[in-house]
Amino acid sequence: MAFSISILPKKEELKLLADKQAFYNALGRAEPAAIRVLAEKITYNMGQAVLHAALSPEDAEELVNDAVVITITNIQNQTFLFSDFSPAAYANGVVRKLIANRIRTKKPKQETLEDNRMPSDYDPETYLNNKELEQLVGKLLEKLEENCRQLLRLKYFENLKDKEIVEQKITPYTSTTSLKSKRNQCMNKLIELARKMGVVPEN
Amino acid sequence: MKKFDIEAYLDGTLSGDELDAFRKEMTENPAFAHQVEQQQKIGQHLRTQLLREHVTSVLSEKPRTGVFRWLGLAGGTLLILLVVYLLVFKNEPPGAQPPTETKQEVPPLSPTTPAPEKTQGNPVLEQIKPTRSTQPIAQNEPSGLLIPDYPAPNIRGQQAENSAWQKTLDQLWFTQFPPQNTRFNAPFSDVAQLLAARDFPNAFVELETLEQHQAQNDTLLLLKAYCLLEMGEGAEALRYFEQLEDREPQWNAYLEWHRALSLLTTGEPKKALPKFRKMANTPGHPFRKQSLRALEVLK
Repeated sequence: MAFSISILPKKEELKLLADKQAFYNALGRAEPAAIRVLAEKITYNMGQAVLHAALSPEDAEELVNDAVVITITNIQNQTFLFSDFSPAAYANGVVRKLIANRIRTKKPKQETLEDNRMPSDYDPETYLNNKELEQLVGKLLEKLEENCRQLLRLKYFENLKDKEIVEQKITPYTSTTSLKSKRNQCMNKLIELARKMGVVPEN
Repeated sequence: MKKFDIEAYLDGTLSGDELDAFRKEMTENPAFAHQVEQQQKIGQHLRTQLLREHVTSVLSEKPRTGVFRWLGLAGGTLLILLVVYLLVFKNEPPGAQPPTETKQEVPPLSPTTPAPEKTQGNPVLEQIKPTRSTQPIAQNEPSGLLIPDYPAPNIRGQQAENSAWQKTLDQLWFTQFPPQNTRFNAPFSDVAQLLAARDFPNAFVELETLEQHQAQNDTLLLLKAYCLLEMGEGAEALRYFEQLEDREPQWNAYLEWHRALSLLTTGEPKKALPKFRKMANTPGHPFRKQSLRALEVLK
């Protein structure tokens, strides 16, 4: 995503802008149109902040992506509940905290920074630490066989129910029991790899 | 032994007796509780990572409206014309030899020379950019001067000032990995391979993991310092390089050169200059010629 280029919204994106509840729901489903609208909104509002913080376009792009991920995650786990303001306002708050956090990690520790209080619903520092672990888990997932990757993706990303997976014949498993059993094996393999890499403690 | 459905518990779909039994087992069996915790943690990390990959992929494919599509096409055509112009006219010496003699022979790559870094950018732009030499570095100049094989890392700061400084760095940038006569064994062999392949983001993740589980040692410090330097984190790299000072005599020359480069990436040429001068004035210093070049570029 180019940081300085604004994307003209398509019809469905305009609709999302008009209806905050629809926008919120679409973000919860991680729909591409909603993601694009949110990213555009954040990008537009964070320009000045990034200039002040002397961040590179790459940093800015990463911050936008992070803010989108945090916003969607918080909608999905209901940390961020819908109220009568746009999710973009929430995401902009996330960006401000991420920028403050980024500046702090680049400056000597003794320097004090203005308004660095963390909001109650997330902690950017924990988020950034977890980000590394998440990337590692992503790499470990690539080490599993294709079948396992698909099963875990269907559950942890597509959020499909076992019954739906079996009925729609998305996988070769004809019963929810066999599907679940195979997915458990895959998850255990992933945990084992994660243990070896130190992502989760041995005991 | 009764089998418990951890997944169902984490999904919140257990209820009644099943849930009570599950909770009881967690209280009485710490190993089981730990297993549940691990699965929860990995599940959360996996969920977020898959979402992040999705967001990145959505945002990297820009939807184009009609206007943008036409602008893109026009831009693309102009670029192609520019490339053709550069290829046909710019390589030809003014009014000199016939076109058949202007073609330059490029010697084959040495097996020990790493392939030039591929950028993910537009291939058309790559062709416009002056190509870096693919010759073995020792043969690049008759004087044996090792010229930069890879560009300097991106530096942060104000855009306009940066681009000029970036160009300067590109002219003198030369890093070496692995250091001469150095081999990295387990547990550092994997990360050394990533560094040699110039996969710095992944190497950094590996190093962070190693750092969490290894007692601090000089090899780890060196690898981390080199990785940070190539990622453009000069100040952090310097901090690691300085910790190694005088501890590993066989790396002294290597450290000296890379410390000077770290200073340059932090925008402190004044501090780097004395170091380059010292190396340039030391006969037999392995980075003497690089230092002379650096002094010339920084003049």
